[in-house]
Amino acid sequence: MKTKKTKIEIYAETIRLSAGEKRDLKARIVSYMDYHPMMSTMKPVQPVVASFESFVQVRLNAWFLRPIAGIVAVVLIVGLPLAAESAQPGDVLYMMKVRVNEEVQARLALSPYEKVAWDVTRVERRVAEARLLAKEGKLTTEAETQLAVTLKEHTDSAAENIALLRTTDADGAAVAQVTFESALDVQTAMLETSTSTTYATGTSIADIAAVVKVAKEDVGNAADAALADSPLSYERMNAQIESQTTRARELLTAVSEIVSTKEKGEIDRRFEDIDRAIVSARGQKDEGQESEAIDSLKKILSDIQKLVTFMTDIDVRSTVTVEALVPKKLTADERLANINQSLEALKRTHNELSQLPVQAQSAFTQKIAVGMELLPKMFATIEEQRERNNLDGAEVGIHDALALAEDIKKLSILDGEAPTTTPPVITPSTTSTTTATTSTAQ
Amino acid sequence: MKGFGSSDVSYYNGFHMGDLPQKGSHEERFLKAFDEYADALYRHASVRMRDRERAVELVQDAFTKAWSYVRDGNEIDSYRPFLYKILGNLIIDEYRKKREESLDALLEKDGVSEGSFADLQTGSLEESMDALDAQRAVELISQLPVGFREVLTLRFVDGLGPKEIAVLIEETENVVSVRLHRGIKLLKDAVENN
Repeated sequence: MKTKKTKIEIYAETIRLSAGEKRDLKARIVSYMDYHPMMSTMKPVQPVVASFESFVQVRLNAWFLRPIAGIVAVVLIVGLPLAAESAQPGDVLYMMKVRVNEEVQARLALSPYEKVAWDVTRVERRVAEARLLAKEGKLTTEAETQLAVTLKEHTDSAAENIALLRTTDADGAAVAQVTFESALDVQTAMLETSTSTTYATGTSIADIAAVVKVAKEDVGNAADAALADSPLSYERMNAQIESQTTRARELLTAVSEIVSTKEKGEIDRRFEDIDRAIVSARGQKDEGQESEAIDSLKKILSDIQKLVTFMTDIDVRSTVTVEALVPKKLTADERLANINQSLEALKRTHNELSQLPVQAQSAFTQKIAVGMELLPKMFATIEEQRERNNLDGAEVGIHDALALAEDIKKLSILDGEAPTTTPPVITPSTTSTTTATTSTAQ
Repeated sequence: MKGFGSSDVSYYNGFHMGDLPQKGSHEERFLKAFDEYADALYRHASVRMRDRERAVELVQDAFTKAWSYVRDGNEIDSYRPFLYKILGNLIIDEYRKKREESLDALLEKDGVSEGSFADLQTGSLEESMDALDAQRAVELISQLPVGFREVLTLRFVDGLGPKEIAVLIEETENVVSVRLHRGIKLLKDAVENN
């Protein structure tokens, strides 16, 4: 007989998992069950009876059936999967390739990290298929939908495997996440190149690009949330970077004969950037900024993996540039030189604008005058920040001054006569700077 | 305390504590057990560990171990005692990791002996516990010696009877009853001194 509940038992019943905790816990357990499924049970073999009509039964001789069964088995087990490997979306065997061949390989990946790596490969395959079909003008709406659905399955699977790995190895999950995001970055860059290409049939791979973009955001958000609960280990990330850098340098040696001199120079430059970034991250760690140092290491790891992909994947190399994948990181000297060059060009523009005749009746004259007064003050601020070695501030100043000079130039065109010199374009970030062509045509 | 094994399962299978009907696939039965017992197992681990995050992890470990057992081809007639048994072992492993002492040594140090009914105080256990502030008592259970913590949690948080507890912790009913009475006395002292 069940006795009356005590006060403690009644109070204890209020201690329970929140709905979110229970859902997440169940998801992890279901995921575990998926990766550790029940062993299939063997059924007893029934005698072979071929029935053609309800009242006629023909018993086939086992000796006759064996060779036929053998041939059928060989075709089913070996031939079809081999043929399916080259199938494209829309082909009869394509679903066999995705649902059978690749699923079998997924089952062979034992650890969650290997499973994430296989999911990455599958994402790369789907994007390559989409680009190939688009290029050949065969990307129908049905094929694109099919690709988008399977791509979503792969990215979801990768996200689940990363989450599963995080429950046992947070650092390993972070490395897997960086690997996955790097691969998605590469695929995004390739899709952006492809979407900007006008195909003869007018086909689009925008849906595929959207799936890849959303997947990257989802994995990043999940990782950020997890990071708040369990910070990563600097040492583990550092060790991963050391091993990946060594591997990347070995690869560079191996591919140095097949890449162009220009590409090799670009890759060498990225290795120098990576070396400098590692030293900088070490400095952050020594100054006690461990979380910032770990963030820096994650970016470095991502850059290394993109470089490795660039060096090893001929499809990537023929589609995008190194700069599109891993933008050049300017040194302090390079940034200073760019600031000086941009400032001088801006001063020249200001000088040319000041020599234009004043249109007394113009509606823009007053606006131009205010801008012209403001520009020298902005130059002074930029020079002051440059002297104080505040390169970030100086770059932002250049960016703002450039925007103002462009506005004055447009107003001057409307006002009467345009200046003839365009200053170099500088972005306020440390990632990339390009110098616009200076036109002197008069 | 021993790890779970086939002998344990056959033992629990003959003992009815919220048995599930034997229908549906292994996966369905397992997930049904999760839906039914996840909260109770979490409550049990949370009270004994006083570490919410770790309690969730231990419950997850208990379910994954149970699933591994099922997928190896073993049958579980009754999930509830089986899961409690695994979770109890995991909690004890946690104590061992933290204190780096054998549980036997801990039990010995905590003064948990088999005892006898002569040691028992008068009045029912339920009356004694109802005299305490419920929230305070639950908080203080985790500060008691491990042997008392286990039986008090099983009795007053999970609502198991002495006979069921005796099966789970592999002791006699007599020992369980003595521990419960001594545990309540310690808990009362702790409530009064805090």
